[in-house]
Amino acid sequence: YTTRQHNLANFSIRIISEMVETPKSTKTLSLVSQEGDCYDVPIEVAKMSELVKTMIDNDLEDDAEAQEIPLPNVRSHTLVKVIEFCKQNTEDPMNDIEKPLKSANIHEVVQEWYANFVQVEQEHLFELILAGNYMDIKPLLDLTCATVASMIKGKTPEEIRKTFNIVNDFTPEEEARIREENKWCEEV
Amino acid sequence: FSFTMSHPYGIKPLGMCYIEGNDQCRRNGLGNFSKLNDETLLNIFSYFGGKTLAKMAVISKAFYVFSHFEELWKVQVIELLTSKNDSPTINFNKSWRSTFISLCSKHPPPLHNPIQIKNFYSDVLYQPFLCFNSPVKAEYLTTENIDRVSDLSRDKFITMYEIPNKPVILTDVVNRWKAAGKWDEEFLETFHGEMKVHAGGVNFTMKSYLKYAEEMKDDVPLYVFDKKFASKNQSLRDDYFVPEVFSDDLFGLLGDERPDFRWLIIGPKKSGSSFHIDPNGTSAWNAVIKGAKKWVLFPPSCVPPGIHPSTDGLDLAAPVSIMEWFMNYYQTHKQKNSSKFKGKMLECVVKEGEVLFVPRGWWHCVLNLDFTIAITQNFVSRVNLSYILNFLRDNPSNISGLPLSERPLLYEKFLGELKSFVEGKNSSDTILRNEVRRTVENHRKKSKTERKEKKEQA
Repeated sequence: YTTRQHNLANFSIRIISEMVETPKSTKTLSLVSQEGDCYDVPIEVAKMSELVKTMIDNDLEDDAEAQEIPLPNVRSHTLVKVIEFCKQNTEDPMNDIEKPLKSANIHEVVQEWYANFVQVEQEHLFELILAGNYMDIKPLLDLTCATVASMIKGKTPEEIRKTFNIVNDFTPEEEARIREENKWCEEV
Repeated sequence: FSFTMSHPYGIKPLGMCYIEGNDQCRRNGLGNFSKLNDETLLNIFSYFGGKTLAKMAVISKAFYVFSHFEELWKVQVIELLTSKNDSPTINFNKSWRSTFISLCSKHPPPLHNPIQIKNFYSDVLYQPFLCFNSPVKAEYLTTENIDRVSDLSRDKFITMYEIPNKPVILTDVVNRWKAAGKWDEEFLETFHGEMKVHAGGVNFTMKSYLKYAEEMKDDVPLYVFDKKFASKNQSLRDDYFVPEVFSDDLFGLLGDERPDFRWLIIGPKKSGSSFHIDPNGTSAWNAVIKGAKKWVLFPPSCVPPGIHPSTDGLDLAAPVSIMEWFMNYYQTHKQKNSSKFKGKMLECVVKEGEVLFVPRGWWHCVLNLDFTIAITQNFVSRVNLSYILNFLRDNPSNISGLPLSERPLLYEKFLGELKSFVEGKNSSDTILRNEVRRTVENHRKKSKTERKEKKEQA
């Protein structure tokens, strides 16, 4: 793969990363997306990803160029969001989301910044889940999974199928059997 | 080895998908979710309450199998009970899902037979079924390389086993207990049926636990591990005694403030404990009253294959199910001649009437081969005292068996009690007193020198 300078759209990210206090190490890493875009990220922020953690070369000199960490499974527009998340999580760690969800409104179960963070298209949300899984960032995975759960909670089966492109492959008899078995759910 | 049992819902392992070549059930039935892996789907499902979880079953066949996954319902039951009141007891009813429904509904409907789902492949959903039904192979049980002794004197025990820190099985102690030949399922149900017992973070009555043990199909069964059995039940306490060779009990000097130290263990076939080291640096003995236990042990310096402790010692990554460990690691390492574990792995099957000495710091995992009743105690003796003192001094955050707030205080408290014991006026056991005095003095000296060295280095 070839490395390219990150484009103007991501300029704001670079400014933020230079402004953040670096308590432990001034080292940065260069995270490289599927498309080859590079993002400089303080090492302490990048280490929120267990995957990145395992790839860090601890023997590099402090004044050496930022180590490149290839992330071929993560596209740029997702990686940008992931980095945003990790930064926020080092500054204001996400609260644990209680199980079971007390509300279908994600704003009621987690801090405002994080609730706003997941206000994205369904497809992008799923990409964030995949990235959280691949990069092994537990709070990101928990937030995105809880968000999907909140999108399901309270909806009717037909609404859920429509929202997520699910085919009802039951026969009417099978479906009736399951509904019968679930009658207890309707009890007060 | 051919596994011909079929999953009650028709779920097949992932590999079968490549042979049968039909993934439609998953693709159509999960829709946009099909790009996520099964663990992620279970993560999403873990945020649902019981009613939402149940309602998922009607969406599609793929959702149906996830919705009925027993592990999710086990969590729901435990959640529901712990949120209700302080020490609720479980009344298990054939499965975790039906147990939950019984708790929520005045007229629980009869549960239908599972709908057979064709062409659904998942290792994650298939695994618990596989583990529960995999037989304990005869090959797992053949090696016996731990000494069996009878008529062992205290001195012999100390020189041959406790000081070298080697395991040993005593064959002639437990059969002298009243419990021997007396304790079994019927006895426990009849005479102690209403006793509350603690198993895996939840409470049962003895009777309801025995029902659970009979009916359950968990791949990681809950087992009774009750630290209060002797204090709440004098009759059970009177049916056993601590073997003489293990009678040193220096933590006993702490009285009520001592860490947890004795447990009644009851579990069904294939329940057990995956690899761990016993708490606080202590040694232990484990006696089988009914049933049999397969043990695998590794010395302190040797982390078992497949086990990954974190650097701070507080976490452990390992296969959750012991059967999984046996299937994936045990045989591989026995067969490889170059294996670094060769010669280090000790094994035995402890039978009724036998008691195993588990030396301090040894890794061990235990598998009940049958419904098994056992008693275990951990102890601090004149021999292992210096190791425990070092442990308490150097690893206060790894101390267990005490409320969090008391852990940082344990080291000083224990030293204080040892001091009182050593200076005590009454003349009983002067040999023990002198040994303890010597050990504590050496420990203090070493601690002082080490502190000095650290200061000089800094």
